[in-house]
This record gives sequence, structure tokens and C-alpha cells, in this order.
Amino acid sequence: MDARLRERALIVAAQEGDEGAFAALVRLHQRRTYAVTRAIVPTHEDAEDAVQEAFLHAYRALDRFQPDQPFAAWLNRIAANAALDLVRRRKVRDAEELHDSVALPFRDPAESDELRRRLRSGLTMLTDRQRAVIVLHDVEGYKHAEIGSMLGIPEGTARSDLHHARALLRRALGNLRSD
Amino acid sequence: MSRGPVDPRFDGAEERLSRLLREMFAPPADAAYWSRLESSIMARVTGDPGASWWTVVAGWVPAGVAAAAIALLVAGFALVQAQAAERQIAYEQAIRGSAPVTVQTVVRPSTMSERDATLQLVLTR
Repeated sequence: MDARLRERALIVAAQEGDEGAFAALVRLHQRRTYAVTRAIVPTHEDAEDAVQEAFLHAYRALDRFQPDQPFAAWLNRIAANAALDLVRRRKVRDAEELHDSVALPFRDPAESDELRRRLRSGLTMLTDRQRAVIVLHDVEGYKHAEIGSMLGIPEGTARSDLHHARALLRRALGNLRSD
Repeated sequence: MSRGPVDPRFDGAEERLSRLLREMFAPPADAAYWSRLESSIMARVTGDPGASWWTVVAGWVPAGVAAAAIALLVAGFALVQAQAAERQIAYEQAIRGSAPVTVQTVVRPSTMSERDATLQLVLTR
């Protein structure tokens, strides 16, 4: 059976209350959903929380989803919203703690490479949205329009964010080469 | 979803930046991680708040059963030992504490016949 038809069948079954079908949809999409949330939140743990929230929202809203629409795009928007919501809640709840986590958002004990250190440092200088845009574009390969749809911004804004983010990160990496 | 073309103005630098970002933001590769995440998601989705702690408790059950069996065996052994000790103490006390029984004997005077003795007894009452 065609993958798209199979997915549609799973969606319809899940809408009829088949939890096994929804679990199959989770298996199909959780990796990409993680990638979307990871682009937006500062840590792996936050991304995992956002993924769970996203699937919970999706499950509750599933009866309103039209099976003929692209499920991945619908789920990506939910995931991006869950991640953005998590970032907002963190900012409101604990501004000081967030400041620390933003200062060092990508902790990886295995990394000692100067280039990566520079990149991490450069990433902290980006806004949350710029970072999300460049990660979604460069890491996950989404187009500007898709990113705009996910983050709720115009395509032109996504394009502009990407341009500025790239320029800043290139400078951060470029400094190393001139050392 | 498709990866956009790399801007040729930045030659290798752009590709290098993308490569580093991909390394840095790569999702976990461990299949077991995704299996666990799926279980967590489904536990939340199905509204089974107990699923998580049941999963934990379920892990304890074999150890709990084994511990209970061992405790039962130890308790049974201790009970048997205590009863044996009790019996031994009771036995020893019975041996040590038994006093000689005083037996009162009546010796019939040899000068009196059995008939006379009976008669005397009847008369004295």
C-alpha cells in the first residue's frame, strides 16, 4: 500500500478511537517532530517535552483534522506551537534560569572542538526565531514558506531571519579561520 | 520538504556551517530512545496517568515476590527453631525440677489379724 494511503488509513482509524493506529502515527512522525521542536527550544530535554505536548494536542484535535490534508504539515505546526509555548512559559516563569540556559544552550560534553565552541557562542547571539529558522532550514531542509507556516511568520520574514542568522554565524566561524 | 540549494557566494563556508549545525542538532540515533519516547507519548495520550508508575512498579514485582518468599522462609525457619528451643527448655526444666514423691505407707501391726483390725476400725468410727 502507498505510504500516503497507509497514513490516511491510520489517521481515519485513530479518529475512530484506535489507539494502536495513533501509536503508529507517533512512530512515523516523532523523529521529525523532535527535529522541529529541537530547532526552537534550547535543550534536548525541552524538545522531548515539547514533542509529548505536541502529540497530546494532536490527539485531542484529531477529530477536527481533515484526512485529505497533509498530516505532517499539520503536526509540524502543532509541534512548533508547543515548542514556542514552552519557551514563552519558561521565560515568564524563570527568567534568570532561562538566561543561564540561553548562555550555554547546546551543552555537549564530547565537544571540545574550537569550531563548535565558536558556533555555540554564535548561536547564543541569535534570537530564538532566527535560531529556529536556520536550524529548520539547514538541518531539516524546510523551505522558507514551510518555516513561515510553522512559526506563524511571513515567508519573507523567515528568509530575512535566515539571512541574518547565516551572516552572524559565518562571522563567528570566520573569526576562527583568521586566528 | 526539500533542502534548498547552497548559495554559491559562500563556497564551502556555507556547507560547513550547515554540516556543523546538522551535527549539533541531530536527533538521537538510538532506536531504544524512540521506542521509549513513543511509550511516554502514548501513556500521556491515552490519559493513563498511572501508566508511568505502573511501569515502574511492574519492574519491582519479581524482586518483591522473591523478597516476600525469602522473608516467609526465614520467618518459618525461625518459628520452627523457636518451638524446638521451647520444647527443649520445657524438657530440661521437667528433668531438673522433678522433686521426690513422698509416699505414705501404713504398716499393719503384725500382732493383729486382718479381721481384728477391721473390727477395730469399725468400732473407732
